[in-house]
Amino acid sequence: MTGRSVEKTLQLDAPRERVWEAITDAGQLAQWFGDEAELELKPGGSGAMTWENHGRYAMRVDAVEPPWRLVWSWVHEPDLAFEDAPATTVEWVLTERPDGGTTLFLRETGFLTDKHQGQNDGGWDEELGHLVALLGN
Amino acid sequence: MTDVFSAVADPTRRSILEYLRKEGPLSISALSKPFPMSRQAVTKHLSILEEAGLIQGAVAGREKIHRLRTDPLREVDEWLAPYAAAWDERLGRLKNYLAEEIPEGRRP
Repeated sequence: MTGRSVEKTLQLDAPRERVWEAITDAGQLAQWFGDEAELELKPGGSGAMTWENHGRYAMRVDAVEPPWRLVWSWVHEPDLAFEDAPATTVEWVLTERPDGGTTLFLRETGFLTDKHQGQNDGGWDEELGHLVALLGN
Repeated sequence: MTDVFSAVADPTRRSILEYLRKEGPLSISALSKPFPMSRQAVTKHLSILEEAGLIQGAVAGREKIHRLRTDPLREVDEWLAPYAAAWDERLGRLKNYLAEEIPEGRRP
């Protein structure tokens, strides 16, 4: 439990290069993530994930390190420019398994600053996470 | 909910919560000792924490004893639960996609 973040680990039988394609290629993202996907695969690149029923969620690419690490941020309100809405950051890390499969580690951070921008900006969400972990158990 | 987030946004108030966790229930005078600020300032922080439901004060003799309440922090975790569930769904679809199965209904 790390407080203001969501963390997921997924075991996949596919090799790492295959998983990398699936999470970075817009056409493939549109097969499993959104109904439509745009992703300019370079730091500072723009992107968006669109769902017919929900709208278009603007994204910004933060880091691209093929074939193992991808970081992008996305807004939590549809149909707004990236700069105009609070965003969370999603980090994807792919690790090769000895059997040829891939471990996908995903972490989405920045939730609390969504709600409380400007308050003690930076770092305190992590500190709070430790506190929640300590006190909540 | 907002009260909890605001209450823990302040580093001093987080330290007070930490201190109560380590030391157990304490009076204001005992709580004021480790913090380099006036008793009035500590009292103000305590009242904010109490409003947020993070501590509970009970009068014991001539003193008010403050004790930690963790329920509101659990609410903070619960607030994140839908986001975690959304990732479970998406990653499930990724797994299916890579296994060359047909992905099912999608949502953000």
